[in-house]
Amino acid sequence: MVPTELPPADAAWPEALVALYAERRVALVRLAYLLTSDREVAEEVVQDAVLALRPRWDGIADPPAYLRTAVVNRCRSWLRRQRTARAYDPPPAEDPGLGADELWDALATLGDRHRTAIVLRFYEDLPDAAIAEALGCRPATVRTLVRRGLHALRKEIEP
Amino acid sequence: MSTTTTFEDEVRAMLARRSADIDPAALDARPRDGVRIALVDERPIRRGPVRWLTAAAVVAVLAAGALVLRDGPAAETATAPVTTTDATAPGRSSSTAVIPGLPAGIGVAHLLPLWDAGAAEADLEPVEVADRYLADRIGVTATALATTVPPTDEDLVTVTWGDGAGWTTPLGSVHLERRDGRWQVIAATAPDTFDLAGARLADGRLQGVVANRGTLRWGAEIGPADLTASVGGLAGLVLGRSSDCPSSPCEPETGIYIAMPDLAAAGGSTLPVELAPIGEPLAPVPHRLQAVAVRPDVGAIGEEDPQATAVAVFTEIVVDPTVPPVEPGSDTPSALPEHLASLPLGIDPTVGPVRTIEAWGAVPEAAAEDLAVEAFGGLDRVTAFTPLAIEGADPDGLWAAQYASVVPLDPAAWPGDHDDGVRGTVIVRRTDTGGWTAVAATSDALDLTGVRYDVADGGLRGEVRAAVPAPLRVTVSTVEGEVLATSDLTTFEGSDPGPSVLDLGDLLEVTDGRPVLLRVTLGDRPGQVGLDGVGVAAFAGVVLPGWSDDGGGVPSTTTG
Repeated sequence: MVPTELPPADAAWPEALVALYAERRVALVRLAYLLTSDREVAEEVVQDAVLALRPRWDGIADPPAYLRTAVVNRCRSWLRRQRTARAYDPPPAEDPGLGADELWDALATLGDRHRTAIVLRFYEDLPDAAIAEALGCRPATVRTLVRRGLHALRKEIEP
Repeated sequence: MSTTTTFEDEVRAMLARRSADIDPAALDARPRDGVRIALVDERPIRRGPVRWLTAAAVVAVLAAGALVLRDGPAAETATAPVTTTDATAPGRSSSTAVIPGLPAGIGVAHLLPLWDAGAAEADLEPVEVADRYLADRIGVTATALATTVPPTDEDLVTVTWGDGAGWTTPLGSVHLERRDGRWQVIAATAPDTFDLAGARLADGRLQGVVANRGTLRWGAEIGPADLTASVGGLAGLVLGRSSDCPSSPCEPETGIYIAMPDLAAAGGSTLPVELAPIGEPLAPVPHRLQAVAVRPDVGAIGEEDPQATAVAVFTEIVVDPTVPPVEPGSDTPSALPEHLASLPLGIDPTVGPVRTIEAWGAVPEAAAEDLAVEAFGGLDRVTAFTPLAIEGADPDGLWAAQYASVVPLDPAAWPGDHDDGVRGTVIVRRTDTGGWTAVAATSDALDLTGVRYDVADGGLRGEVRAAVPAPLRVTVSTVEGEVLATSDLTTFEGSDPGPSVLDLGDLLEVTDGRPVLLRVTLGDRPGQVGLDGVGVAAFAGVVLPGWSDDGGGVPSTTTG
């Protein structure tokens, strides 16, 4: 159950934004966690997204959708940075293989686009159009991403 | 009853299961307050034309122009000093050379390293460094076609490259400078494709214009037909912030997305994007401006998708704005191109200081439209401005003439036959700081070749002719619009079949050294058109040089 009782309001924060955060924070952090596999990063990403939303609050037409997209974008950027970092500081050559939750580990091997498409489709249950909006691509591309992502996951866990 | 579990169900169950790893009780109940350093400063993807550019990570960058700007303090807000690279630091270039294709005022001395092969690879030759840059940073397998060393600076090398398929057509250039004993990439340009000369950094904001000139030449592995439907020009701009920059590698995808013209709507190969001014003042951290032409259905740079290597053109620099800009000058033309000078103006619009006629625009078409619409009384009187042709693109790209048709809101109220609009030409030139400014306009119905302007006494003499029988008037005003002198209005009888001729007599105006605007209007029917009762059916205007008693600053020529 998501706590709804808030600490005293801070005058610098719009009440509606604080309420939105309270209502959506668990879902958003979970979404970010599924996209990054990192609890701390997930929470930081959501906090950053909310913070960035504050000065623009009055001009946002659909705050929940905006916030979700902001979180997705930040997660993807974080993933890209991780990929870049790995390129210059590669992990040990020995492949540790998949862990006990091999499908979860396999998810982490996907590129950020495929991973985002998979999570938004099968966790958020978003339609193609909404995923396309979040990814900035065409709905047809979303279907391709999901299909390829599933194929990659299956291939990853196959013995 | 049996239930078949699909792989999709397994994925769904896994996600639901793992989402429970997040304990709601462990999360902050309120947004954290205070100043935070964001992981990534990135605006959510927006709707409309911005939308699909923003996913630089989900589209293949087929051609790109990029700047990475180390921003200065915003004039409005910033008070703290900006941390920048010391331009005088050891190993920093002192060259004043200018690389073609970069924004005006930016020379080699402004460029911070884009790519550094590293001290361990100090022995690499320029071509090898360029090759690694293109392969590692851009994802391009390139073929070096030529290496150029300017005669004045042996520490500068330009490597012209084509694609790895063996084509010999140059796609771009990588510019390297020897700093600290090794070759470093300081710029990658594609001047035939991306025109960045209009971009600049001012007051902590990016301003000006960038454009794709539409000369993309694609490699064999992509195929021209494959791209025709999806790539037509500059697809958009990405203004981003990356704490990685200027050290390599910079993440091209992170950023605040600022503009995204609709590629399909653009329809052509030239799509300028106006930058001025972009959004909020930039934070004092390195920034990247990236212009990308993208195909929306393939992978991004750096992704494993093999199509991600479909980068045909790429332009990138890192700019230190603390270095004073290169003084403009070479881009100031001395004369109007011949084919534009033949227009029936009678007066060379470059004689005096080039000033605007209350119109400017990001592109030639916009400047011309501004002027034409203004000349015909504003948008409430003009129903359509139809660009017919851009002419006179001189080799320097500094002049253009927009031939267009203006359709009045009420053609019947205008003298003459204007059912299909009034046609004319607006001459525009590029300013030193970006954008375009209109400097003169003509109408097909007007002939100003009989006008003489004498800089000796500021007098206008001669005659104006109109092909359409209608009243004529000549007005001299300041460029700000203050009327200094007005000719008599020619009389016109509706049954008179002949053309209108206005003898200027001796229209004299002492302008105190200020440039003045000469405007000729055809048609002046009080009460028939517009709120102020003035109907302008045709228009011609040109800015004349200023004149003063001592003749200071005035060209000693008489035109006409």
